[in-house]
Amino acid sequence: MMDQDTLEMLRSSLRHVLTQDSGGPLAGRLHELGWDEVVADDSSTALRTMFEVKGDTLSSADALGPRLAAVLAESTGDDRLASATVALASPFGPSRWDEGTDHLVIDAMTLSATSSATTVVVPVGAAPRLAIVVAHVGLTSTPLGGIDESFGAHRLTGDIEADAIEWIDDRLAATAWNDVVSHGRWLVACELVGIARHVIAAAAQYTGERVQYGRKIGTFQALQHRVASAHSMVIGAGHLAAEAGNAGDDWSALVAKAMAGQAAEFACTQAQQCYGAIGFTWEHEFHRYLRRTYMLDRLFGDWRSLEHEIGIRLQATGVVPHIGSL
Amino acid sequence: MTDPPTDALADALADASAHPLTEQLAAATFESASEYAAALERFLRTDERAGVYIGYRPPSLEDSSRHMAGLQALLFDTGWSRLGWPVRAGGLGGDPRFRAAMFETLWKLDIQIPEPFTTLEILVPVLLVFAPHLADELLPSLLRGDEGWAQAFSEPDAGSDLASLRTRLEPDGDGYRLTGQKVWSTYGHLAQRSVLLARSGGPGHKGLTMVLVDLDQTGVEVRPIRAEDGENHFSEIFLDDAWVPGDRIIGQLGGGWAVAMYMLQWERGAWGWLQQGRFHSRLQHALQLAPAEPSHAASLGHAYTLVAALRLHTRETVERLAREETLGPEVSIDKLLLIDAELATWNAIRDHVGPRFELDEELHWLRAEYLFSRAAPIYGGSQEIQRTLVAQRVLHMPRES
Repeated sequence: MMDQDTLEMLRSSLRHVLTQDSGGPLAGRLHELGWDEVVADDSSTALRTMFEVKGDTLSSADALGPRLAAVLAESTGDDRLASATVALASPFGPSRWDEGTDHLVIDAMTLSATSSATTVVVPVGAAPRLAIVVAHVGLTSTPLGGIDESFGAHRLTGDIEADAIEWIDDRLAATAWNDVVSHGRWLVACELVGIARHVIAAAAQYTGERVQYGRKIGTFQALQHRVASAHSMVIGAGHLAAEAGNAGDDWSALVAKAMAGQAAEFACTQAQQCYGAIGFTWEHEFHRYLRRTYMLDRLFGDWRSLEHEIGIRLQATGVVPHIGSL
Repeated sequence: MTDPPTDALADALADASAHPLTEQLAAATFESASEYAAALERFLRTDERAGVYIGYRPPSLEDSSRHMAGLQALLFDTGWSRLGWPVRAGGLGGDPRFRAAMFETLWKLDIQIPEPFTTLEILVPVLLVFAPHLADELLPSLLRGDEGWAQAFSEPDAGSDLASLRTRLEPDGDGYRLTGQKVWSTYGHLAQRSVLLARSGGPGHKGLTMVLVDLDQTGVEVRPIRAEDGENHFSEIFLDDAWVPGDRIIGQLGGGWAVAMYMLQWERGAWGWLQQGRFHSRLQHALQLAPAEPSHAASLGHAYTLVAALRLHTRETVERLAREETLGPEVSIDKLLLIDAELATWNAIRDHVGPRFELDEELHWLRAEYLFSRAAPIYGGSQEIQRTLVAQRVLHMPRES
């Protein structure tokens, strides 16, 4: 376990590494930081901290992609996949097998640009089969701006012939994809918690500066209550994200992501009202946090869908499990 | 803390129902609170005296109070409820996690928590710190349930604004006399004594003193109040020159506010843990009452998510209390999470159960609990008070000058 001082130092280093514009790829910068040892020592705390800092700083670095690849490699026992790009379903897809041409028609999303020298894993279908495409010139990667230009998402398209594709064994693929989704949910939950904490702290500070009717607007109970209600919700989300990392199971990751998504959205709603009109402009940073919140909430399931899924699973089993023990 | 009991321990506890465990059952026996929980579960499942409490649905609060008193005495006599309380108070040692584990186990087996346990969580720690002389004398019979105590703070004109209370405490010979009126005293009409906050000096929070007053004396009249759920949850207490012996002051004369503030960390912290156990248990019970309806899944999932957050947050609070940390204004966050979880839980239960919820006589107890849940944003410091405290004392938003 990391002590408070170590954790503080780690935060500060990560803040630097994640917000550096130059200095090469993230992996290299993390390596210089001694990241591998930190993760070996306490991976749950290290990764949670990294994604909280990423949320707090709105970093554009693709920290998630390599994590998904690492999990996929571990789950499948296929070391080649550790440096692969894991594609996710895109709203323009799905990627599909074309019976007529015997080609895989790929339309997916990646979390950063994909070069034609990379191995790509593409989910195909709802309970996805996983296709491995090794360094193929037929793949095209184009920026997907959308609501958050700085997020770095890319659309991956291509029309790939059958003999350039290797399929991961279906049973293995089902388990592995489940692991990828759970790991992704956990880390995105941490990032959303980082965003929400930032948004609340910034809003609380602003209400101590802005004066109307001759008083700081933070003295108005209406605004105090907005910020306080968001704060308690984010505290709850933080606990769930931390526990999901320690437990490492699907259920706690699902619940953590559901809570983090709504806590971040709720925090943004309350903060926006504190800022009034200035928060509605590009002169203020707020809109960037709002955009990132929406982007992340959508990844691996938006919070309303996830809460519905939680309810469906509870109804199906008739059991209401405890997350975390004494 | 998830290891199962060791074989040796399992053997030692195998004939638990035959022997009182007070000697062998000490905190030191258990590696962890969860090991204790597993042993307690085995005891409750096998001891025939415990059977009548599993799945018991109270027809009324008074009936529940009588019935569950038997469980309180059983748990005390067998030693199980004495873990987590210091020896001087009639306990067997160990930190509050044992109590938390006991609540967890009772809910797991669908056993109602005896009402006085919730009061103990709040009053016993206060007595141990601020009135050790009273703790030694009175706590064993309180823990066993031989007598009941009630908290009396609020007054008709002092609710959220507690420091404006007016009940007077005047010196008289070698003791004091109390005159005034208290209200919202939980289980007041079932109690023999009350921990009561009164005014011994000037206005404001500096003139307050905490006392322990006997309720079965002339000069005291207790009238139950029928609450929204139809049950007598709280009482009015009328005090007319009621006698308080000189040694019944809790803390310092004029130091009542500090005692009340100390109490809050237990009231808002430990209470939240106890309640999350109830919410898990009730959600699970509701699932058995009606067929699954996909359109209510979101309501259920929302409730579960908030209850899981409450569980993890109050677990941390219990651990901090176990380390004897002093909790500050952040305990208001426990209450805010509790309010959200409690309301969402009962909304989901009502959604899931459907029209039987309003109409089925068998579900009287469930409706009563539902209706009582509507008090969550009001009791023990309203939602508004908690939000103000979090904004000003935790987030340091500006205060009006």
